Amino acid sequence: MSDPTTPLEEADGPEEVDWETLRELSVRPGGLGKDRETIWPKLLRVNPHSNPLEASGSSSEPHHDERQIKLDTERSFVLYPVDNHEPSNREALQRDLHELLVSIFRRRRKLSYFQGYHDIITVLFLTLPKDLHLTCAEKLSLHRLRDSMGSSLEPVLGQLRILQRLLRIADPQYSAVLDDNSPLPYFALSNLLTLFAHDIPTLPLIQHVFDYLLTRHPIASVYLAAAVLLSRKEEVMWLEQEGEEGMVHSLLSSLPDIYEEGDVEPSKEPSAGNPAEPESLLDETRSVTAVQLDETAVEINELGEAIDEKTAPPLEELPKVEASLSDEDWTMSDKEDSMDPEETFQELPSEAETAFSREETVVASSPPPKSSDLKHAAVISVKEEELGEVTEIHEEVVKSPPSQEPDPEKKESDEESRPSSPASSSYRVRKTRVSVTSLLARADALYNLYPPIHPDLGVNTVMGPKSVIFTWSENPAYLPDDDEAEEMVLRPELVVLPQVESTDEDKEEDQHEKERRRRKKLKKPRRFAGVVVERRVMVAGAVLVLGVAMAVYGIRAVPDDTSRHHWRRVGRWVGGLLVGVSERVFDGIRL
Amino acid sequence: MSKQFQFKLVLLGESAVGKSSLVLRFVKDQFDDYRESTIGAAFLTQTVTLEDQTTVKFEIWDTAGQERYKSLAPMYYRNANCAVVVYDVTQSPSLDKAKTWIRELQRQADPNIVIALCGNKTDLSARRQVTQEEAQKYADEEGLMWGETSAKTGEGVSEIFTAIAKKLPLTAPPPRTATRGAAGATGGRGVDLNKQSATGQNEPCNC
Repeated sequence: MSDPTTPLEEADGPEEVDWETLRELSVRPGGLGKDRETIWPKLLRVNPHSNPLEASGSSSEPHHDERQIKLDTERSFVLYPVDNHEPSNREALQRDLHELLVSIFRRRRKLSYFQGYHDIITVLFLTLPKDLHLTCAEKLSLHRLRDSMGSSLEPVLGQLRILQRLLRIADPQYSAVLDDNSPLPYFALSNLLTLFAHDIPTLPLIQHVFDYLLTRHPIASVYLAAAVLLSRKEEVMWLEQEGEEGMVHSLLSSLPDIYEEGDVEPSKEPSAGNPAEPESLLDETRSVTAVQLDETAVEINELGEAIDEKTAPPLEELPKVEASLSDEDWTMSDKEDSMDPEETFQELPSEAETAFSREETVVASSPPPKSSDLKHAAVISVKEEELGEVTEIHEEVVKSPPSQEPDPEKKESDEESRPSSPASSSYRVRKTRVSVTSLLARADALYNLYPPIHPDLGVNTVMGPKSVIFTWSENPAYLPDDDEAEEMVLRPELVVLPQVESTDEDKEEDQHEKERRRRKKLKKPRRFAGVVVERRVMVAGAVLVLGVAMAVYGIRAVPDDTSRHHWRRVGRWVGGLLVGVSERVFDGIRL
Repeated sequence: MSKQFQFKLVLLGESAVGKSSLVLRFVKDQFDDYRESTIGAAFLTQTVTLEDQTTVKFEIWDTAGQERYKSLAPMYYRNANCAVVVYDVTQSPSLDKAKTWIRELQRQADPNIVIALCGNKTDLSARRQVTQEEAQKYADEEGLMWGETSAKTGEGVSEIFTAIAKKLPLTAPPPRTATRGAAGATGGRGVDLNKQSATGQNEPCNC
């Protein structure tokens, strides 16, 4: 079945996989195509010739999550396969899926089921030959999904923290708006938890996404989630400006309209399973093709004057982006006093008397753009060298239904008269329409710019040595064996590290980081230096505590052979590139 | 101009009791026989107009039912003005789960929160396991609102939300009435998800 171009060798054991070539293929239109049927098992290190159904370790005793599994499989196969309109077909599929899930958990009893896991397995179920379902699902669960298969949500929250940090370094302005909406990017929870399987509306698209993810390190899902979120900046800025809190969550917990290049029809269902139907948000909206990946534009957005200041990005390999964005596209508060709210922690004197209760919530720096400005913003055309393509943003509809006052400047009165079901209250949000390949390419670009060893991501300060983030390897010799992997879910404290810092401190630290960069770039006297200094002290304290905790933790981990083994590998992975605090902490762990 | 109010409402309850379906019926007057499970939480809004033309806009957080998502719930019920705790009338254990949620709300949520206990799936009368008397008695003891609904047929759905709207303290405007601002208007009211970071020790959402 394998195509001559398939860079896989026919062999019995876990054979050589040409990861690089497959990665490359996975970002092309169509991804791995039909070959995925044979490639996925190899990526998952499933030996196609082994007897998959040997009963070792399986049991007829029900697993404690079987009730939940039943509840979820009974409402599975909602969106695809598309020829599934016959209820009897659907029920047959549901029965088989249920059986498969039950087999997995009876075989790997230490794993816990989570809602959304069934969505992931559905994709395997509909893609792979039946005799490989169980072993592939098992390998996938043990070596890639394991973090989420313990008893708690903590590990995926760890991933959300990494995602948050990634967004902060990739687009500080935008991430500040997101942070303002939610302490963590919870809207991406199901993306990360289900590898997008819960969210992507069609089978070919999710298969393509799986092509991408399975040819990469498990952390790739974080980068892809970031790419997706970054693609929706325009929409978010709109909602933010409209002041519809909660709507940002609603918007971002569904995906943009993703299409496969070459397909004429856009995907019909923009969201899966989210009652906050994006249609209701977006029907009457305009559409946009992709947005920009660039910090330059961000800087421009933040500060009209910052156009030629190459700044915030901490890495040298900055994407060279040419953005044509006129100053008036984003009316900035700097007119009020030459100070950027983000730099000063000062409350932004916004035109609408928004009551910000705390400094932290203010930092958001969301420009208070006027609606007309945003319309202009839609004509921004940004050249994305990273993606090797020019994305173009076009407006389709800007009109709101008559009941809606189109001008946010008259918002106050608008508020009074607004009718209001989500269906009726209109948001002039542009619906992002974006090709899956451009999202994948953007995710790769993010990965290259801000790789997991990037100190600002602090991956090693979030995830523990038993996380798939650290145990996964392209080389099967380095993978923990299956039983060992299963055991790891019982040590949740080694999957995601206990958080010493609180969200606020974390945020402060990060803002301090932003602060530092901005200071460098602006070289302006700072008004609120006192505040800043004080925060710095707090941050230092937090870091110290963290360091001590990690050291202690490291010592505890020493007697554990496996974890030491993994840390050695992590050490290689990290490659000694860590600097500053991260390095010290890291050394502590490696003791 | 008639009065306008805005309240944050959270839906809680065991998995598959019909929380999302209930909201979908209320907000869009639709029903899907197959409704996917909710991961994390979903947000919707809907407005109820009362007889005196007062409008009450609900900002609804629909939460995931599986136990493992429980740790996220405080983020949604903290600051909530009202909670609809849903059980499935065909599943006795779901009422027990509802009671657990109610106890948690009584302990952790705003003391003034309006709680409605809602028995869903009345269309499946043949499979009923929870009697009206049993649920109502419990609701009375706890001082809760109570109602039965069928998200499938629509029976009782708008009634329960309207009843909540009427019960909410309209005379003393909640802190969030008409303070709508421009960008970043999350401070101090409603969905101030940031707020939760100040409290709680074991909540994973806190990290």
